[in-house]
Amino acid sequence: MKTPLATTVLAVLLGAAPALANAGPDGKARAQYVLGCAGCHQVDGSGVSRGGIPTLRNQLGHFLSLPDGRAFLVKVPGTSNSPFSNADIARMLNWMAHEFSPATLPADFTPYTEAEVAAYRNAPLDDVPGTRAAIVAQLAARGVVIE
Amino acid sequence: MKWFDELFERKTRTVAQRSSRRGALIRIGKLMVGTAFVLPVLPFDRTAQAAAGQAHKAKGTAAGETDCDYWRFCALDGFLCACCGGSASTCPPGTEPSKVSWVGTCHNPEDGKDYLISYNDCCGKTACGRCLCNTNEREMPAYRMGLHNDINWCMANDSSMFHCTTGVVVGMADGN
Repeated sequence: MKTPLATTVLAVLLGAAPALANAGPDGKARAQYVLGCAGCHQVDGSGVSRGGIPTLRNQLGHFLSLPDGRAFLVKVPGTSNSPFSNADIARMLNWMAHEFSPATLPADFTPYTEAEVAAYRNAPLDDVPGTRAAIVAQLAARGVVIE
Repeated sequence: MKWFDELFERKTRTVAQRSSRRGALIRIGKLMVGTAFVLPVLPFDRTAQAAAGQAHKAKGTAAGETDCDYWRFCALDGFLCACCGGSASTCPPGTEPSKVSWVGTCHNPEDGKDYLISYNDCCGKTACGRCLCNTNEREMPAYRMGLHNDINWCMANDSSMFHCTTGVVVGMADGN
């Protein structure tokens, strides 16, 4: 378990179940992910490929290796139309990148900021599937296959 | 019967002379507006749920997995799987959990905490038909497609037949 011992001990002292406890910013990011995203993308980010819901596992890192891909993860309607604030989305995407895609995360990955999320959200996509297809094609040209 | 006619005429005239018709209208109007705020005027039939809730209070027992007012079912629309051969978190034999679901927040009065609940439907058999609940807390149809309980959440499964609904705890909501 990645939870630091002190946090676990504190959680136990407070009477919370450590497996469910959401202490700290990671906890808030996870809770908002579960509330707003996990209904379709699943709690573990695995998605439902036959239902047209892409997996997030080890895919986010590939998207984050391209500027267009980095913007897409915010502009995609599931993110940009969510009820969460720009700061919440920045925190959630940074958590998701490390939680679901550590193996493919670029070494020079810089966390999203609130201002960056605001800028992406203020410039919505006209053609979501077309934009995604263009990003997938860019990645394919590098030899990266998106599931 | 003449004395009755006279009595009635006398009383009627007395009332007509002593009372104001506008005053009567005002009083009737006050009565109607007043009762509108006192009596329930919602156009929903929730009498069965209310009766069930009262029954628990009368018995001094908490609502259980087969009751609509069980805390985990605060935003549930469907047949309770606990009444259909499953439980509040497992599907009955012969059905499988929906791949996609509505996730909501419910308050547990026992420990005072808010929990994240995933309302997975059980799919693959025809409608169970027992223990229909329709609580729908914070439903926002049309405004937020994901928060619409009339969606068949079995849509991503092999069989999209809806049988019943579970309420699975998937986390705690107090993320801060």
